[in-house]
Amino acid sequence: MKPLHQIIKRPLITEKTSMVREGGNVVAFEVARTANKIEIKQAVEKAFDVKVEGVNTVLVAGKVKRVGRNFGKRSNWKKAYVTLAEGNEIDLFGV
Amino acid sequence: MNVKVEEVSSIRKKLSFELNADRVGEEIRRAYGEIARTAKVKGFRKGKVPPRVLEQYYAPQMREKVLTRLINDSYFKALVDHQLPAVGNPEIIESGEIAKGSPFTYVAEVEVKPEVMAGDYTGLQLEKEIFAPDQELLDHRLEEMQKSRSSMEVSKRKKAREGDFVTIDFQGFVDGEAFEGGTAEGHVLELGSGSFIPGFEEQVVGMKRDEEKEIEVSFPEEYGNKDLAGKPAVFKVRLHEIKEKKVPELDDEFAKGYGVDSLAELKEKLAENYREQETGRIDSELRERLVKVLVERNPVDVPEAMVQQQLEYMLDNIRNRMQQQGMSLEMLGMNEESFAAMYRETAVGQVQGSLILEAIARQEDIAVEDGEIDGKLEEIAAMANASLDAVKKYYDNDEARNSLKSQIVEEKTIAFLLEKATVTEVSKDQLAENQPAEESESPAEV
Repeated sequence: MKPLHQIIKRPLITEKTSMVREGGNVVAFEVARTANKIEIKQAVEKAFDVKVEGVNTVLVAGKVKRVGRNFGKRSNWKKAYVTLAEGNEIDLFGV
Repeated sequence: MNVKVEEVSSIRKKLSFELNADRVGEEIRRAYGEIARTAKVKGFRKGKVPPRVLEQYYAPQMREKVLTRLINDSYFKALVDHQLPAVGNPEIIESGEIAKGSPFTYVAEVEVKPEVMAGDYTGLQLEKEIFAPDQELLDHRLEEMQKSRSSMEVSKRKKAREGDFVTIDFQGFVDGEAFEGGTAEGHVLELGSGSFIPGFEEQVVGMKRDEEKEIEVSFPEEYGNKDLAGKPAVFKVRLHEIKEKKVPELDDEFAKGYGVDSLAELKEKLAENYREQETGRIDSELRERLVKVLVERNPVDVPEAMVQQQLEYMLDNIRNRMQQQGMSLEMLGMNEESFAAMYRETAVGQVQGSLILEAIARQEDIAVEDGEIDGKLEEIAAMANASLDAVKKYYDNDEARNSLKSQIVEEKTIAFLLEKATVTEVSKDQLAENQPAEESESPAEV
């Protein structure tokens, strides 16, 4: 298995992720584009010492940005919504 | 809220506060609420940041807000509740943690106006200067007025004489060569003024209009320019014009220029002005001595904040005065710091004085009556040459009115003290003898 930080890149804290988090014990991460759901599940379980119930992933298309007449595209990336089993919790602020 | 007041010294109080947890929690919530409205966190739109996230990012800001809020509320309330006449800002010397669910404690120290009990203020021995008219000074003043009225007129005389103003061209040579700065055209020279090198002016005396002459002089040994000092020089001089100063006669005509009818009247007026000026000075000096004696008899601790206030006031005052003369403090080689250092002593004395006078006024029940304010306003109006209404309008707010009141009280207190004191009248010379160490009058005397 790859090192964990190559699979889980960073936690994703936004308005949307905050909402799903409150709604059903789901945390969101930005993950490697090549990682699959199984790898993500294992990585999260190992990194945070929790039990994962399921993983949903989504490929996010990078935005096309323009500077003057030059166009550029931000990289595509993968987002993972990880549902934790009941009784498990991840404190994303490390407090 | 729980406050404990301890006395550190007569001018310093220590206040220990304890604020209960509910109050702290409420303030924290309120602070976060305020921050949330404008907080910006990546991933959230403005104002949409949930409290959980906010707490991670904005704890320091929250703490600051809560701290100022709590201290402001409790501190000023404590001042009112315990009737502390605080001067200056409090100094927070200890402050606990701010956290939800726990009480907040802090300790502050603040300077207070000391409670002065003045004693020993009757039967003071004071010396008052007797006003002495000074005819010499008046004559001198008249002479100056005369001079300032004098005018230049082209002289009818042919030859220049001492005291005349002549217009000349000149060109100076040393060793047969013209030197720098030795040439001028149309220069106006007052003969006998000594502004040129010795011997020059004397030789111009007796020259006629349009006459050309060579003047031989030698530069003095101590002349500023080393190259020229001690050397003989020749000046080619051409005289253009002779003017003389016409000093007006001292007569009734002259007096009319000053808005009075006769010379006698003018003299009288000058004497009157002088008398007013002098009695004003004598009174204020007497007053100063009185305050000084009081301060000596009633030592008072002075809060630093009051001294600073007084210094600021003095600085403002002197700044204004200088500005009117087109000058600045910096031109005298002073800045705010050196000013403060220099006049600190004076400021302390003045604060002490006013504290003691205040105490005496209180002890003697000296207060202002309504009529007195109006009287004072009229006086001010007359002095400032303004209409009574304008003056009244200016004093139509609490701050100005209060300061006016305290001014009147102070004046009344001083009058009271002088009445109770033994005042001996002495001449100016005697006074100087008795108090040799008296400080010379400083420009900041207010």
